[in-house]
Amino acid sequence: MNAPERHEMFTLPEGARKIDMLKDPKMVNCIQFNIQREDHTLANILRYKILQHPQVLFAAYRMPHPLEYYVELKVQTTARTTPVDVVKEAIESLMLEYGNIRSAFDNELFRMDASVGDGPRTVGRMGAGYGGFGSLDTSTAEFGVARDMGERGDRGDDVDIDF
Amino acid sequence: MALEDRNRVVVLEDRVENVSGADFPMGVDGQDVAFNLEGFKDTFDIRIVRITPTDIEFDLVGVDASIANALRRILIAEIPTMAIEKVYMINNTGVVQDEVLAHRLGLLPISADPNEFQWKRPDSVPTDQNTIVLKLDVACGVNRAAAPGETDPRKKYVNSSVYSSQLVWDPKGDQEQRFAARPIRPVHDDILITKLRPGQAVTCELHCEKGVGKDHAKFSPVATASYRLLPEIQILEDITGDDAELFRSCFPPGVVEIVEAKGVRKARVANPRKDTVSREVLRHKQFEGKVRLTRVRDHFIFSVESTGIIPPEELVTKALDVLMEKCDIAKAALARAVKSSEEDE
Repeated sequence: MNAPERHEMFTLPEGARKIDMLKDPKMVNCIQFNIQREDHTLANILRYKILQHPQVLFAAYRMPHPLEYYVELKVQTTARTTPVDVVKEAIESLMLEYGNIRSAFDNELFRMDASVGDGPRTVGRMGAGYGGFGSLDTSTAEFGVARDMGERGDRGDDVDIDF
Repeated sequence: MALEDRNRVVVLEDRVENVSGADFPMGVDGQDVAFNLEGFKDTFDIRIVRITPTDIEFDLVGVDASIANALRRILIAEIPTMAIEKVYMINNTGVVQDEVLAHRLGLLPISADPNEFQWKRPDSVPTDQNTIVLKLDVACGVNRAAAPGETDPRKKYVNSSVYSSQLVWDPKGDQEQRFAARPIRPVHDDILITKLRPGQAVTCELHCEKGVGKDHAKFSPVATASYRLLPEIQILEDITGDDAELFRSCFPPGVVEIVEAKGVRKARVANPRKDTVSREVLRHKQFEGKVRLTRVRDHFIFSVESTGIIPPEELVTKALDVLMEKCDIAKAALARAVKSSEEDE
């Protein structure tokens, strides 16, 4: 009866901001980011990236309630930088990393298509002859450059929804 | 902890050790873990192991669990597909109640490209851009051609079972031209929707809308999307003779092989991927101290099984695109938040 509307899970409420920044009054150089309509998917990778930053003293996230569709991300840094800069850097580095995974996957697909035709495809090297992790030759992997983010504007779907 | 153990999860008889990673500053002494693209490129690798029209298995090596998990979560919950969302029941005299029938219909995978459709907001009206209309009109009757005394309902009656193949697409607007190359239909023709007996009928109109799996599981484009860590069997001391046979039998077929050198039979790890990490080997006294079971913490064996709407390789690229878009949105939102907080001050 008082269940939230289903679309509230991914549509940003009227007048709400995607990210709210709250200064922590008790901690120096600490900001809590309330990110609307996001969950563990984004918050956990952000936390992971932020923790890799050498100037970060504290970074953690939580979902306050399963029916309130936002996450709280708290970041404290040293005085040499600010939480906002660190989060920005984290997002950019995530985009680089995913861009790289994406182009590597595309290359790998291309390699599969080139080596075999249609129908079920299996690569021999990971089959019976695969001798464990140590034998995995990572040096031959071809990587393309990280994709130009500007090209992604042509995606026609998802235009009118605020995830 | 030994250096090579850092990215190994150690599987012991009664517990699992070294589970969480320590790849953050101060986590490991003197180790620089700050992200740099060059370093990432050195350790990162992706390999497709198996790909069929419905599923894909690939290895994702050199990434953190959070990255792999984000990919898995998006595959399950955030790639849009089209599914039956509204059922207008005109007539249903079968034994399956309206709401149960509607639920069963909703779960049918519908072969339609979600990119071709717009999102339907709660307040927007159905148009040919955001809705697919399907119709189901089936009545069961007696098969007059059936032999007298026939007991099989499939022969005795007509339409005693209603299958997904009986859904009829009703193109609206320019949909017929837009989808001429790939007409909209259920992915599978042989999904049983309900059963009827003579005199019973089902007539309804079904509206498909675009949605994502976190709204309802029927929108999920995957049957399963999961990952596991690569198992690793470390033989610390040679296992020979009859012990080698026993050692091999502790693992699923193909994991361990026996090689013979200078008349001595010796166990050797052939393919650790096939291991289920049952820990059977740790129960035997004779292997104590000779074997160590681990998993490679940054080697993910991903397995994605599509429902048939979107090909599996496309699912992965779409998932990466969705993640990228999430980052894009967050980046822009952060810039806006910074701007508005500066204005406040």
